[in-house]
Amino acid sequence: MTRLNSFAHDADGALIAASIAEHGYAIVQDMLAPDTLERLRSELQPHLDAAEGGKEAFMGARTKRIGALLSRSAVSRDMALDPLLLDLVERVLGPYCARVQLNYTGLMYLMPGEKAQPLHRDAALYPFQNPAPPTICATMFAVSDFTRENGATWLVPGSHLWDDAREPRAEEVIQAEMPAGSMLIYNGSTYHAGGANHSNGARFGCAIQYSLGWLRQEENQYMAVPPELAKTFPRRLQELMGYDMATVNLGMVDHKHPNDILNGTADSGPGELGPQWLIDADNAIQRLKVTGYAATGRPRYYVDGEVVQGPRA
Amino acid sequence: MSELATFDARSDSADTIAASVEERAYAIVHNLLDGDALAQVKAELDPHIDAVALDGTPFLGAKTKRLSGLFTKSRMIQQMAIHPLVLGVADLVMLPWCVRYQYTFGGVMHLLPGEGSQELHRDGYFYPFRHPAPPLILGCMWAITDFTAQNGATSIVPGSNTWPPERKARPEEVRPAVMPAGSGLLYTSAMIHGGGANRSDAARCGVNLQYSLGWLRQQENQTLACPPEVAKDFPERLQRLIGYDIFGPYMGFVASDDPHRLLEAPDPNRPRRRTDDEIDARHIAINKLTIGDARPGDNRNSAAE
Repeated sequence: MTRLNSFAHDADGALIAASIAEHGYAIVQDMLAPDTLERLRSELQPHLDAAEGGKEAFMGARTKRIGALLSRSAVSRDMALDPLLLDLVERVLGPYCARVQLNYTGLMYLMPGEKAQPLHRDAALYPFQNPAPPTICATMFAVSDFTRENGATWLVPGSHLWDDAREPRAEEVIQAEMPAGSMLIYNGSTYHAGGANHSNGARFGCAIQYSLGWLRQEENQYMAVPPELAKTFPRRLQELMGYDMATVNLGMVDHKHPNDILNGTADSGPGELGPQWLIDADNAIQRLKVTGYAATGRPRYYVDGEVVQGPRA
Repeated sequence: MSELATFDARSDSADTIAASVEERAYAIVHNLLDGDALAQVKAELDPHIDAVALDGTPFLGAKTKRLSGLFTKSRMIQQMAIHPLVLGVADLVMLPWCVRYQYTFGGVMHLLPGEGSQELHRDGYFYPFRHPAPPLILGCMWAITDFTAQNGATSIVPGSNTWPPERKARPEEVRPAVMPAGSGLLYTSAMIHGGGANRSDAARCGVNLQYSLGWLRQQENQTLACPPEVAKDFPERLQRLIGYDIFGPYMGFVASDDPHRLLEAPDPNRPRRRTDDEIDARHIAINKLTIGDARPGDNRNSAAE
């Protein structure tokens, strides 16, 4: 098996980001200390106890999947604000947007006997042909150990740079084996999948995803987290949820700043919707040129044993 | 000078109007609102317009009264936003590019006498696509008063949708979108336009209701402008249009479900839905954009010479 692209928690963010740019992913060890992990597990256990397995085939029949992590776990709010993580997100997405945002937060709890998900790209949410600029920067925090047997995330290194015609082959798939407390971070255009759980224990991961601030969020954070709760969050977390101007005039409410709407601090007149620093940030980003278009579908590749079967409907 | 592309809501179809929007990036449609509807929207808006203080930026206009958050201010605007002919045109113009389009922004633009002309621009500058691009935004400027050459009818540049990005509009290429009250100017983000100068002695009132591709962030956050306790009384089409909907496979969900459920009576037996066959099929069928030549650049440059 290929040696995993793995870093210590004190590694230089620029180095890790360069590795994500090249391989489409990186693993960072020791993101969560043992006592933090314990708190996270105890916060989430009641929700796991109440959850059922998935109803949609793609989501896995033996997977417990719960979104809106921020409303369920205080530890997850610290995870979403982790300085190293935000530094990496900024390095991956920052060239393409004035402000990044949270896209999705959730847990994926794969029970014994769960089958592998088809290989897919999270970025297929948005209508861009590949290769495309990064739209999503995703993470998977290992809450349990992630092993070959229990369904550690499958990844196809380098596939974030592939065009849509190139299909992953079984021998190109690696597994993000990592001890509990580690974080897998990947470009949303990298082919990946939840693995198959052949063990007798659960594989427990938490996903925190970011995206370019000018795109629609996958999970509507304004509805997923009750505003009364969001009000108690740190300002930076509120901004990442979307209580923020994505750029000048983008994301306002009745000509007021959405953060002022949340916190009840809006004046009667229009808010400051285009401060100079935001104009400057927006003028510095990459502008995209649409050079063509086509209906290219949404490929998913099934891996049975060692054979990638190609797209199914 | 050629006639502006003008249609009549009583006799022209969405197909005819959409063809004009796709070819020229605009269409003027008469008779979208009758006299009663006009009287109602005026009566609903007048108290709000009276209360607006003038403190706009130069781009927004020193003598322009602007209002947003319109659905809580006017029931008639709720109906205008889901006008069947306008949405019929939006279906044709926008659905090749997204699974669902959304209501993105609405604003009253009430130009007082003496207001100068607005800088010409293309809408959608806050999305980082360089012109030419697919129709990211489709706007409908509803004339609440008559729009005349004297009172600041929207200045439009017909055909500017096909121009190269660096081409600026010369004064003789700029036309006032003259139309009687009750009409609408439909236009896409590809068209150069701006508010006109009001040289008359009365106000020019327009309501601009805009739609954008559903995978883009909404310009005005409607979840915050219309939280569930407010939106629950809206027509369902409007609820879905403002964001209480799934906008593509897994796009925009809440609690692993269609956000519209927040506005419905709870039903524990109904399965959750983050996508379905129709949404999946639409997602596969829509155009995916090829992005090349990404580079920095001020996207808000003036489009006037």
